[in-house]
Amino acid sequence: MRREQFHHTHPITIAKNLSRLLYFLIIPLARGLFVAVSSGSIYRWLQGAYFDIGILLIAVTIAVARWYEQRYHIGENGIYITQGIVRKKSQFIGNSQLATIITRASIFLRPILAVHLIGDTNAGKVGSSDFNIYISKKEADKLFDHRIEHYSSGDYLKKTYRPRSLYITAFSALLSNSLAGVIIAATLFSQASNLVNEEIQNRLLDTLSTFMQFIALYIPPLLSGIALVIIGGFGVAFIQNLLQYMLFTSTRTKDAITINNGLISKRRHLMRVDKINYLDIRQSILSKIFGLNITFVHCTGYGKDSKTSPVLIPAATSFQTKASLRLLLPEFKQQQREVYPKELSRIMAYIWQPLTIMSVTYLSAWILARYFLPTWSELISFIGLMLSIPFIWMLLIKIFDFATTGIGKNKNYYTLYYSSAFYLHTIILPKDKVTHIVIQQHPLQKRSGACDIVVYSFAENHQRHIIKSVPVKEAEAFLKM
Amino acid sequence: MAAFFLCALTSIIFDLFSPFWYVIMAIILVLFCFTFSFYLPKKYKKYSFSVFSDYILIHSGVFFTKTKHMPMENIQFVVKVTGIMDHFFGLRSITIRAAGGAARLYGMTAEEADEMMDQLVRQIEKGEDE
Repeated sequence: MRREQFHHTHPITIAKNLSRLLYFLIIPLARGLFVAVSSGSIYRWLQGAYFDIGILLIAVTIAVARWYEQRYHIGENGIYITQGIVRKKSQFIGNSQLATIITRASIFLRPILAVHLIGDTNAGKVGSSDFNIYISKKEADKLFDHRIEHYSSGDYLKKTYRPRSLYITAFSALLSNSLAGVIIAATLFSQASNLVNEEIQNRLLDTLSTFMQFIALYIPPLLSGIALVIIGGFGVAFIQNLLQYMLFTSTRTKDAITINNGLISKRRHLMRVDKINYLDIRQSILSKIFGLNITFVHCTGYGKDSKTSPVLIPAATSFQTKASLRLLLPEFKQQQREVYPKELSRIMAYIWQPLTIMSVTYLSAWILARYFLPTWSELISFIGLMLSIPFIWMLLIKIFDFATTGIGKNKNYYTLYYSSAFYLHTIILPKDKVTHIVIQQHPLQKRSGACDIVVYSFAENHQRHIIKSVPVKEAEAFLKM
Repeated sequence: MAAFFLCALTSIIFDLFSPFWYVIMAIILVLFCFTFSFYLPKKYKKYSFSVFSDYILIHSGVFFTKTKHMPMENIQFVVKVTGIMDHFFGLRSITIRAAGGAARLYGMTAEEADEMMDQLVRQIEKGEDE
């Protein structure tokens, strides 16, 4: 590949290269300069800041050199990138290997017609993308359009799914995940704050101690403050999610899915259908109450950024989810479960964990309140109760899990039903994305003829799906082991 | 480099020319001689790779030998790297990233590396055409 065919990345890369210096060098220097200019003592400022200015000049030179040495070429069959001043790297990523291509045009990049282009394959480091460069919007659009055209076919009718605003709002609220946690935490803090007040006023304040007076004065407002901060945090997260997922569309062409979203910061994601590892239809207790499912798509690169969730259908009823999946990914067919725990006695395998933690938490609080701090008994019992609420929540999930768990299959896909932490999952997994399946038994399961099925699926790092306590004979027959 | 730092560290921790210092210096010297005259030449001799049309084979290891077989179709992308020391010796290395693993081909001259890179890129491009 000849060097003349390569282009420089967008000059905004220089700013990105300098971003680490922004807070501890550029801002203090600029502030100092501003003060010096306004007081007319630039010479004195220069005398004090010459070392920092020197460092800054070196950093700027390195940033410019790094930008100058970073070049790319979008070829017919892949992307070439060269970079590095002393340690030089030349990279080639074939189009056929790219699982996901993403362009991000943030509020800062849009006015200068630049985008952040990110690409990921099934190889490379788990936590980071395989390449990410800043290029002009025009070049990125050209690449996107070229790839979309490649993945389209003349006779294939393009299909687009656009969720209703209500569902985007619901999704944003559900995704601002602390919603359930926030309700509990806010209640805990504000109620505790009331109780502390009452406790101190009724029992302690008049009896003594400046220390208690201090708590009486400062702790209640502090706890209420924390509750307020959490609710405020949720509000911010909600608005951020809402802005990010507004204008959400998923479009299916013959061999790819394109997902666009964002009102202010615009994102485009292009995924090859054959690189999709699995679909995850997820429900929490809250979304179950509202009868909503959220469908995530697991494809390397999509959702890697901590600010993005790999969502395909933000929120929809079960019926709508099925209809939308038939539109977008008809090859991913959900199957009814064939192997599942049939005896009621197996429920203990599901509920013992939350039940134990819940009991231990409440018992510890009771013992503490009864024998060690009787004067604070009301407060401690309340905190014990509040701390055990997440496990009551989990217990409910596990009971639902027991009623719905299992595994089913058709010619090319497995459907797995299970729960992890606070979510119920329905996984539609292509058979060719299964790396291996393990049937495991502990001594108690051996006696009762039960087992856990552990399905390992293809990903940058192995992904595990565990279906608990199903009959071992049925599992072996189902998996033909 | 490591031997030099270990010597320096030993001299800082223990008194110079004390019995401990002699013992540790002797151990470092033996290890250094062993690595330099036996381990590294053996490692170099044992390391080889072959690139075929549909897979790459890499042999390595001195005490525990390893043969890595990487199918071409699993290769996701390739990176040619020129490190700081590589500049002085005119050497290049190529990192091949595959789904679930990686392999490093090192010790090539710049021309060999360019040729190898072209060959690998052609293989990856062939996957796109198919």
